[in-house]
Amino acid sequence: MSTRSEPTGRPAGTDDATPSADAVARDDRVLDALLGLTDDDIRYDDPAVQLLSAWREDIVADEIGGTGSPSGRPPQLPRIRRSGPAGPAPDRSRPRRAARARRRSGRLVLVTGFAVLAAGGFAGVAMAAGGAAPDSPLFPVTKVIYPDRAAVAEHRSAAAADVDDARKAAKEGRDDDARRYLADADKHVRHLPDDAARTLRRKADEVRRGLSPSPNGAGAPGLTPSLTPSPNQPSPQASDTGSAEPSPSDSSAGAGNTSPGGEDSSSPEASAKAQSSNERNSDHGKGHHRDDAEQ
Amino acid sequence: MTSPEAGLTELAVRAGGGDRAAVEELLTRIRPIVVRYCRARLGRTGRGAYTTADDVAQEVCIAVLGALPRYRAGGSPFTAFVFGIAAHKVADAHRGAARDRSEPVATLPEQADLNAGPEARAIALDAAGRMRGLLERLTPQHREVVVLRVGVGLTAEETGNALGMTAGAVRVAQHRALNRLRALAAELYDEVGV
Repeated sequence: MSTRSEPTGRPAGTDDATPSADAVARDDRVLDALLGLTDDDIRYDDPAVQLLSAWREDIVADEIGGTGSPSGRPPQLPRIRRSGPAGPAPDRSRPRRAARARRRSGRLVLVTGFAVLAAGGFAGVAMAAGGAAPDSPLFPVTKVIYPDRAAVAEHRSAAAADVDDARKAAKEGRDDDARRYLADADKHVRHLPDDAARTLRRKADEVRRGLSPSPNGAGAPGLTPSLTPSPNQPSPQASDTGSAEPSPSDSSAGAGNTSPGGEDSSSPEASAKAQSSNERNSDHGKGHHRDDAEQ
Repeated sequence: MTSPEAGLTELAVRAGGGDRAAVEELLTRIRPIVVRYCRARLGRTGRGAYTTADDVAQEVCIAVLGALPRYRAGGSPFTAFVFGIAAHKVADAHRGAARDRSEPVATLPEQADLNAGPEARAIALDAAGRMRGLLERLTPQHREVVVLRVGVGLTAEETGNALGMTAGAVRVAQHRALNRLRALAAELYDEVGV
């Protein structure tokens, strides 16, 4: 049986005083077919019936405890979708996609976390390397990140080691070794800032004062070359030639030095000779001798 | 095909007498029709969900269970009893909606959507929305007939029982309601140029 819903053709908005039985029955069959109460094949040519059908479908869609069928009757025993035997097959792909998305999200969180930790760790290492000493495990990092600081630290460490070696050699009576160590320390001290250089020079001077007079005039307090730089020119006494050998007794006077050969270093010839020799052989600048001589 | 109303009155009497199994079965059977009634009357709210209608349907079911001891089999059919309560709850919801400014959002379950696609769904929603607007222009009696007959899915006889009318009166009323809807739909399609 086919039921065709058709407009009645009556004026819009008018209520029939006496509607025809056929029209009433036809509309009743249309609605029954719309609800699935009959097996009639209804064709929705009627715009009003089309709208009613859409409205009906919207109502029963996603119905809680309902059939989910737009044209189905209300159930005698409503099927519960989660456990109903005739319920829709569960979608397995979406949970898997969700799980994959969660795993990807987890990996992203891990990678981001490691990146943050690495960045934070690198910043911490860089900060710690700023004050690392040459014997520190972080010193290679310091040499890369702070090359200037690393150079200063290396010179400071080398100068301190030379001064310590010089002190040890002086205690053991190896004055020549001590002087050589002090000369090496002086090379390193030149690269240090003023504060660090002043401390090391003071320590070096303390060691130097304890040395016996050297054959070349170095090592005796007041006469040996000091690590302290001086703008003045060196005194004429210092010489490694032996021609102007300083005498401890004469050191305070700064004059009257006598060479082993009996020459008086205060003479013009001796002074000129000593100065010439000093200029040729001095390793550490020429302005140190006068300060020590003045002491 | 078994009517949703069949046996409800006897079941309600047993449930009112304290039969827990009858209460459970009664609730199972009336809940779908109550949900449809509330959805048909209240429509979608907020962001397009039936949240409010379903909540009202739940309240109706609770109210029906509370009123069961007062139901007497000799009076009106049980469906009329249920829809009477539902009509009051819907009216309360309309009043409450006028004061409510919240927009509840349903929690979407992770399961397959077996319904139509987005485009077809949008068209259907549009048509449903238009129909809902046309229903508001019917008389209250015609609107109630269409709601029960089409929205809930009752037969003419069941609708008559729920509304205290004869089946013939329901058929005439639905015929007049359809005529009115046809006229309104024609106006609507003329407006949108369909």
